[in-house]
Amino acid sequence: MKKLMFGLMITFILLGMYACQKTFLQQPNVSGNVSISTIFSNSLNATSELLNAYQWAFGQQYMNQSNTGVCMGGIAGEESRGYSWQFAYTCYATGLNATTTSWVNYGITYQQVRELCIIRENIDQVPDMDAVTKGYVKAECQGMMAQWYMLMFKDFGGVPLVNHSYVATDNMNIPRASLQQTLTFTEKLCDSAIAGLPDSWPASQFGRLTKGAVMALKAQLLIFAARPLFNSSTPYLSMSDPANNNMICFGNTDPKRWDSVVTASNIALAWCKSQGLDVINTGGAGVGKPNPNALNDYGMATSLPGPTNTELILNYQNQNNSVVTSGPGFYYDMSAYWTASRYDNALMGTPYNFLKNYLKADGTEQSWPQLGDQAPRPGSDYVTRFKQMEPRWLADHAGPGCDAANNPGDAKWTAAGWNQTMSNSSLTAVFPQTVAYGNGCGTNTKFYWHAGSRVWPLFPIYRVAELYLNLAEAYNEQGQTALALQNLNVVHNRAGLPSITITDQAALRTAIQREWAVEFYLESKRYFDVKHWKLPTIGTDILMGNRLEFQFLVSSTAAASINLPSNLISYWNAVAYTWLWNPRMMLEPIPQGEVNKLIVVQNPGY
Amino acid sequence: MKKKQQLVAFLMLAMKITIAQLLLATIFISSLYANGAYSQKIVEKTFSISAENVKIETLIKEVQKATKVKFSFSNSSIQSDKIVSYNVKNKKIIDFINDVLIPNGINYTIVNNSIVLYVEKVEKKIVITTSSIIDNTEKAMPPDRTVKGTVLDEKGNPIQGVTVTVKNGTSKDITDKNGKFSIKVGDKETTLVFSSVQYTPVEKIIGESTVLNITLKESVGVLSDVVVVAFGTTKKATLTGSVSTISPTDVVSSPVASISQALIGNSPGLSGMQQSGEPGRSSTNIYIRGISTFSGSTNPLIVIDGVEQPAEQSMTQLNSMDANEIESMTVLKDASSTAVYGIRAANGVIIVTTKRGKLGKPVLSLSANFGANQAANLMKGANSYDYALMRNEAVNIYNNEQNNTSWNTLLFTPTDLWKFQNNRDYTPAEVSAMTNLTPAQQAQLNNSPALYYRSTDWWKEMFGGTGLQQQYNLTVRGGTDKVKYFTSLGYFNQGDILQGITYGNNNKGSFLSRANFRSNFDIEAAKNVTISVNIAGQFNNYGGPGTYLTGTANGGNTNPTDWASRYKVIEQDIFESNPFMQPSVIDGHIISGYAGAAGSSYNPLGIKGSGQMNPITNVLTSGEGLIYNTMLSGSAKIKYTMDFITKGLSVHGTANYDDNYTKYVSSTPSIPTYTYYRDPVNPNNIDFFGGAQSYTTFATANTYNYNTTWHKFYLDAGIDYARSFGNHSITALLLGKASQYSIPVDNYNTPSGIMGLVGRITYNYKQKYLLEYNVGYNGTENFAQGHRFGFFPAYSFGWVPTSENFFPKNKWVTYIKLRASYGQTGNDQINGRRYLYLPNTYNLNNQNGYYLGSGNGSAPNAYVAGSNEGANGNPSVTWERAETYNGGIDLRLIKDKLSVTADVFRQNRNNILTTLATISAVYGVSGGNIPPVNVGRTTNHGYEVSATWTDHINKLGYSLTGQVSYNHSVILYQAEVPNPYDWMNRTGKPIGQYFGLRSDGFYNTPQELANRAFNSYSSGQTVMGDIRYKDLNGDGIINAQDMAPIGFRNLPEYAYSLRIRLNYKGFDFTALFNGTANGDFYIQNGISGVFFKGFGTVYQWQYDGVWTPDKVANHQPISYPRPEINTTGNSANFITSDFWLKSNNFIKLKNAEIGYTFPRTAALKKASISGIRVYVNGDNLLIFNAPLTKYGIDPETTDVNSAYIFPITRSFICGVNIQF
Repeated sequence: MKKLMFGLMITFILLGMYACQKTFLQQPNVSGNVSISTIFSNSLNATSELLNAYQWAFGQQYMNQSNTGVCMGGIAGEESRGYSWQFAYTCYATGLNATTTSWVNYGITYQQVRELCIIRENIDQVPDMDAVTKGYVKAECQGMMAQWYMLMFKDFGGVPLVNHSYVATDNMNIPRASLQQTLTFTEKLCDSAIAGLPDSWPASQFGRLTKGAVMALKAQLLIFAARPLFNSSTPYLSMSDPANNNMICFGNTDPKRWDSVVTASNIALAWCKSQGLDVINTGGAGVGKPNPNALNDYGMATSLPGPTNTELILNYQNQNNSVVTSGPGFYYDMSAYWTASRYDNALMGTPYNFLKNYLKADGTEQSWPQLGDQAPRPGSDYVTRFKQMEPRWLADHAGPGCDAANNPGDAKWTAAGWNQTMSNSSLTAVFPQTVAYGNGCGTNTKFYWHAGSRVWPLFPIYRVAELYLNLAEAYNEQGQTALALQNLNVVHNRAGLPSITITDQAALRTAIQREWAVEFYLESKRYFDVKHWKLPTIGTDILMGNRLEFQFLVSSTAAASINLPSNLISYWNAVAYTWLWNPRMMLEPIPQGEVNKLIVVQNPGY
Repeated sequence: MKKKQQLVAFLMLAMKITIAQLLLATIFISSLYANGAYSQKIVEKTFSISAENVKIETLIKEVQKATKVKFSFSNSSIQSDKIVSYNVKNKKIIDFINDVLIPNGINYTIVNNSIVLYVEKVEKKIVITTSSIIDNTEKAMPPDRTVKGTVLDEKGNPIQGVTVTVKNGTSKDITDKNGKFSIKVGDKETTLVFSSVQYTPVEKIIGESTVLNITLKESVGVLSDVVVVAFGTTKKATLTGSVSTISPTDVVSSPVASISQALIGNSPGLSGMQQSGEPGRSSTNIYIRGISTFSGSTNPLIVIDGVEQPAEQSMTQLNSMDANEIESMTVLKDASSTAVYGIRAANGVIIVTTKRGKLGKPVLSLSANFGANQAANLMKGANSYDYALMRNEAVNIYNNEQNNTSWNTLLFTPTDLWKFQNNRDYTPAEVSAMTNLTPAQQAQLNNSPALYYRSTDWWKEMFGGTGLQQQYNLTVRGGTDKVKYFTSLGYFNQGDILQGITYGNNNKGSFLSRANFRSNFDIEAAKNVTISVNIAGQFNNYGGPGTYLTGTANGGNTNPTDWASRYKVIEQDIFESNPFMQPSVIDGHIISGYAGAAGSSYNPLGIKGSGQMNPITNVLTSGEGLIYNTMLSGSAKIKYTMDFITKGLSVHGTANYDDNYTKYVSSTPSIPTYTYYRDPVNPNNIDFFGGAQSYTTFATANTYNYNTTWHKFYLDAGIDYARSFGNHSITALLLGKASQYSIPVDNYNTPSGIMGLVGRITYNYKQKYLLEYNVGYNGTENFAQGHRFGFFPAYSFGWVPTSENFFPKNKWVTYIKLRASYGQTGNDQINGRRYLYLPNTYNLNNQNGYYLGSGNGSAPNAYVAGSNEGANGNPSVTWERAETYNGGIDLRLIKDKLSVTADVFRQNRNNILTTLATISAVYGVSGGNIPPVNVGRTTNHGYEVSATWTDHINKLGYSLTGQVSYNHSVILYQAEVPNPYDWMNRTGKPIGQYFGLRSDGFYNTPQELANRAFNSYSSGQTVMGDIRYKDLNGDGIINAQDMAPIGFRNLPEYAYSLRIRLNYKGFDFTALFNGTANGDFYIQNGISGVFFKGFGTVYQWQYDGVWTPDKVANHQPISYPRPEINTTGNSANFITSDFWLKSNNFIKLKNAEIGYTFPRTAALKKASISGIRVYVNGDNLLIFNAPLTKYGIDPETTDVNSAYIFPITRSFICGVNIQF
């Protein structure tokens, strides 16, 4: 009896414990939770995931979304450095090091690769999506992955190659692949994507990847493989273990790499023509003649979204009209100059170092004030010379005393209507001192041709002009000068300039590079181009060294009048600030935290 | 002569004795001096009997027959004709005595193998007296007299139920409800022992007295016999774990608002840092044995009357308790004492037991005290003149060193300086130029103190006041056999130290007003059934300046219940203010600024910083928030003693429900504010402008955060067993428990539950060899099914060598106990996150999306919101697990005057939830979304020593208790990526270690400056007088690679205290000294910087210590870098570095109290007052050897609140306790 009682009591406690588990240990109602099955339960959700990937894949080209920062121009020498908290400023002030800064965010890149893998691996589960669309989505994922890998290829060299999504318990000790492996891997991604993608999308889906976009991508990938930084027997610096040099250098100079650029670019160009796309040239001047409609044609090609822009292969379709949140208008808000609300982009004028690339409208060099001049020039000289510049300068710039030519007749885009200071100016500026930095030699207005009140910029990712310059560059390297000139002049003439006739390979190379600079001003190409060309003045002029900006003595600092031509007394060229180049900057560093994990090796010098 | 008298008395007595009694005496005379202890065992004999309606005499004879134990009695001495029935099986003789004889007035004593029965009345007692006649020898001096007396407690109340026994003898008595006893004693050497469970036993040699009044002390604290442990009590003698007790008198005597504040210094191994000195927010973060985890919760588990407090609200109920309700507090430190709490035990446990009723008539106890608070330390601002000199110097450095003229508008002119120095708004020359004034007016103006060129120390102006506090408590305590009760009513009110904050009827000061009640009942509901009911309520009413809405406008204060945050607004005003800012009130007008244009003669300092928001004006106009908080707690416990199954067995069950409700309301009265200037015509007059007034606005915050309701439900049921078999004692416990904490706004909308089993087995042999096994088995829903329940065992043993036969008895070492334990415990409060085991989450339609479509830019295309992967789950996530080793020794030395307890411990904590920083980026999951895994490991070791010396010098009784505790923790693994330099690694460093640059003096010469390393934090900008940092890796760049461990953590490694107690006649005195060592306080940029925004405050220590070339030349001490404007973390001098890390070591006279207990005079008795004690007490009284006080900071302040420090207060109270 006693034992029974005892046993009963213990049983009671234990049973009570067991029975009450559901009461005391509850589980959250997870039926409403969003899991992977929710995402791939219908076409809408899956598309939403895909479009987030789009936003990242092409936004990264255009602005560094992970840093407080803006357009890439600041680090590419196309713009001034911005504010002290901004990417370009910190990047170079701290010497581009592995613990703080680099343009390409290594972590985010792999996060996007993972997202794209997840979509590709799971899209087949979506019940309400047809098989054809599923095939397109998979190809889009491959295309965007290729975009990410191309970015890393240009920026880091060989990188770890990931082609599926990991679970936490997987072995993720993936070392960096060689340059060749990375190239081959990315080419294959391009080829798969090209095979799977459509030629075009319905109007409502305009903006998604097409065959032609990935063809252009592949051509760009190949041109970076062909350019001298990688296409070389010796790396720009040796890795700490020379056995790893194949991550930053092919180990030979192979002219065939240029052949593949020609092939890929011609394929892309052919596709473009088949789809009715080509360089916009409405002037009717014919081959070899300057295009009289250059300003409008170039402005349209770089500013007009949608299928009407027949030069556009792919653009970044973030059309967020907000200037105060996080959209492109926030970081790259040119239009809102005429409102008083522009945010972070006030100190982003074009420095003289880049202004030099522009010609006058007649194709000759402009004579700007130089460092070391004996005297300042009158302010009217600036206005005069500004207006003498080639159409692409005028399309892309306004300046003190100079209205923005890309929005004619719109008071907001005039110097008088501009609500911000357009110059480094002061009432007491003393020649040859530096008054201020940031406003450069002109204020950029690109991507806003006939924008009206549109806040967001069109940002081209691929347009046909790129293919012509690919061909010009590749043919010149192959020694096919005529073909090079022919392709170069398609772009050059469209810009309203007389044909280039240089036949010396080196001189032509320089001319082509200059064409790249001007034609693709602020289109996130130059930062990589100048490094991969290994230009000798990269550390003293193009990216680093003395940064030169015009300084103005003005007769009024009142907001309404400071930009008026009548108030410009004099101007001169001055060193705004100096940045120091280090040869290691040819490629960017893998984040130190990642290197510390002892899985990947660092690029040389960091 | 005496002996003769005694003999006569005996003879006289003998005359009354019958022949039968004489015979009886002869029966046991032969065994009178035999071993008494041995004979006690005869009452344990068992028997069975069945008797219906028999005379007691007959029944006794039947029992005698059944037990073969001799009962000696006289028929005439007992009511032998009373009819009784008695049917029992396997009953002990003692049960028979207790059940039948004693209720009928028959008492007993044992003489060898006989049980001698007698009735209560002395003259009828038949014992021993008879023998004395026969045994006529000297040495067998018989108990010839009766000693009577009263037993009282310390407060003078009679104690019922105290056992009074003759030491080594047989007589005993138990005090009645008036505390009276009466006992037969032998010669004057006889020692009486007074013992009762709740009191420390007292032995008294009777000497010549026949009346003894004994006072017993409550047996809690260091000397207690019984210690409250997890799910029960245990004798201190059999304790094997590391447990310390806190005397509730020490807690009561501390005049602080929160119990947690009063614990510091009163228990070895318990340390803490105080959050704030504001009423209602002055609680202390308590740590037991320091901090052992870098990610999980560090709070100890609080258990109040056996009920675990929810981990989410660990201190809520305790901090609002009235200290007068508390009977005992126990701190459980090692695993053997905490393992039964399983997954909530790793950080230690504090058990709080409230007072309960006592047998006896109701005792009313009334206490009241009144006191005042003031800031113990105040930051001190520099005066206007010094301020102006220093700012000019700062501006000049910019001009001269950096060609930076942007601050030049801030420069003070020599005239400005003269005016600051002389506290005048006009120089004599300026006054004499005012030709419109009469000479008298000019003289008046020349003597008029400055209104523009003022000097105010804002900290003193705001926090220099005196706050009042008062506390009242009434308790009633008493009980009968059936019901025992304890009721307490308390009220506490504390004001703050803000001053100048009253306008009209509005007082914007902070206050805490709290009412408490508690009623604890123990009801003998039926035979063997006790029901205990506890009902308690806490009603807090907090108030203070600054409303929710105002706070938001002033910089991100989004939670009005977060007062620390709200006060940031006010303190930010001080940081941004300067000594010459406009005053807060002039002639009853609240001033918001100057009427004159900045820079004009009516507002001469406007562009130099005079127009900032005046902190007091801001307080006055910022409205007032009130928080009403109610906490109700009810518990019922039923205990069923089941001795009828087997002796020592009982079952019990507890149900508890706590409910907490908080309501926030705010009001913003419209208070007229004015601007002013000196009258342009006659500056002796002041002109005021403004004064608009509208209506008061009210707001109640409906957002969930501000009307929280949480409740908790707790249940347990268990079986207890405790029994001794000769020298063997065992106890056992099996208990199931479950609790659930709910807050309606939980993200997952599920309550937080925990349930588990508790088991314990203890064994001891003669209290010499002690063994204990504890186990907790419990789980929470925070982990996946299959991973929920954890098993936490603990083993401990003890050995008392002094009880061994071989141990020589001596007065130097009277007691040694060695203890050792090992056990495992857990911590389920991992990083405040729940349900980490759920599958990977996704963000649907709330991420950056894209605009597809063919629009031409005239309008955006349709937007499609994006989705992406969110946090990844880890199905195997589980609790932190701690393994604790503890070794201890308890000593009593030098005639028991010195008692020492020492413990050493090591706790290895593993399974700490950590995000794998080592995982490769190719995983593609961002740091915050990587599933945390239980891989972190730490170790924490240390010791605690506590020693008490108790003695007296004549009538001066005293005791000294010293305590030292130490702990040092190290992170063994936290999945950290190995840094290029070891000094950068957190792994291998203490938990809470600061990391920063290491300073190396200042740049004192141009050569030093020229050879400097590039400071990447300040873009290389450095001038003379800036702090020089060590370039640890020698790469010529000061950057993250030079960030190394600096100093100690905030919570000091050493804590020590000394408690002194003295009593002399009616006076008592106690003092507590405490101190810490090996701790540091980081002076945040908000305090260390100067001239915030160009106009902000400067402290005296900054002015005194500032770097100047003169000081360098003269080799004067320099403790502050060169002055600069608008200092931020980007400035070279304010990067995190050891320069701003200051030792928080200190020694304090933490608390002192002197009291006087009035003797019980006739007048008091007439007023039915049994005791009056008056006392004065001071808290946080004196501080010595504390470097941090130089900066105006109390070293017990935590540094986690950034630069926003509400000064910790010092208080004085006087009070009275009256007992009826």
